Amino acid sequence: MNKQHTFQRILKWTVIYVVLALGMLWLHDPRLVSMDAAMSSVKFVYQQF
Amino acid sequence: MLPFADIDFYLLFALIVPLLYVTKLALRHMVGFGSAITFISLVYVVVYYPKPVQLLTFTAYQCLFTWVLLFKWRKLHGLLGSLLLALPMVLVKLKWEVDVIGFAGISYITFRCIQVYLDREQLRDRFRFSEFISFLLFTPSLLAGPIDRYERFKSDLDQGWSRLNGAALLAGWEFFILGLLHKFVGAEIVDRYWLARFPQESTALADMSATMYGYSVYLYLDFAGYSLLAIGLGRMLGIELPKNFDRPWLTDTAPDFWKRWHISLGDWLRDYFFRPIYKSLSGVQRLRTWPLLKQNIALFSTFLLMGLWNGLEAHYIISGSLFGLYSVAYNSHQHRIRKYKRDLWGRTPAWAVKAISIFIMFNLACFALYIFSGRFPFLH
Repeated sequence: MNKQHTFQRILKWTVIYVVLALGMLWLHDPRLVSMDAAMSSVKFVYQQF
Repeated sequence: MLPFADIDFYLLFALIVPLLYVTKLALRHMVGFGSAITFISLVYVVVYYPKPVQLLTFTAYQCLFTWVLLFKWRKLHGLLGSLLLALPMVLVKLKWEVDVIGFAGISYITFRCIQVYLDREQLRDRFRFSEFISFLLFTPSLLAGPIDRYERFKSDLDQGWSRLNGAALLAGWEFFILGLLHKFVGAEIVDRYWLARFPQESTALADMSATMYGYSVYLYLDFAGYSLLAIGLGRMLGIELPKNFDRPWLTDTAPDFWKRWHISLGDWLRDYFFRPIYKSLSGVQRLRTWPLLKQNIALFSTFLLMGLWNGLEAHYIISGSLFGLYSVAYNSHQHRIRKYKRDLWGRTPAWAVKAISIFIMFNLACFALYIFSGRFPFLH
């Protein structure tokens, strides 16, 4: 029972991650994400801590 | 940047969350967990939130009046106190000087303040100012809920740094991933490949039906996704925000729909609007022998208020009224069954009744949400 539960959980989350990854790649082109925003966030957090 | 709307929001918290966990051992000797959460929320509001001056001014107003109402003006009627706290939100909804006091998320902060005020008898002794600010400005739930309760939020803060543990991180991460899937994959597909294909102004029944079902599915995926993201980030930060959606399309009655759809708003309206109205109607001499009428007035007013809260446009008011009518019709039907001991369904098997009820409720809810969307062509 426990083994079956673990297997179902692994299967469920594998499907979720695959669908999410393919969906994000398809719908939200990673090349369009601005790196300026990323840099400003990194810089700000670095300054705070 | 608004919460969960920009890539930099995700990047910011992709840095903050691991930093918080890594430095937890050092931080726990220097600052309290509540102070750290308040600090993160305040920094986010001051540096990143749009219109921080308006938000902070409004928060100062709410904090001042909540404190005054809790500890000084103790004898003021609950309705007057609530109106005082709701005043800025009402002015914004009436579009009065919106730019001066308006900002995204004003309603949700107001709801939290009114909750603390109306539960003042239980909360007065446990009220702490810094925790209250943290409760109002907690980043994941700042913009659109879920609407938490002060005592529940405070109990998480009281547990201290132990709230940040592996189980919380994993649970939060799972909610977060599901939120991304709902909002950025599911809702996006429905919007691009379903809703965009049907002209909104078309009065053809096929187009209207497609838009009605498409919008309902889109709204669910988008809002449930947002709520899952908020719950996920909240858990990773050690705060267990309440659930906001619970398979709403499987509901078979109108009142049950609002126990599954935007649950925290439904619960808030029940506790801080429906019940006080019903209680005050119970004091009206003429209504003493009309319990059903009292219930129906309180139910309809609650849903009408919910519509008005979204805005003064006709589609919001009609949508709220429709949900009110559904609830009034169901409540009256239940009253009739109890009174005459006779059910409309007769000998129909229970599973068939359930299936038909779910089908009817699904279509009624979709229709009310279609009106809510402002896409119903006959309302333009």
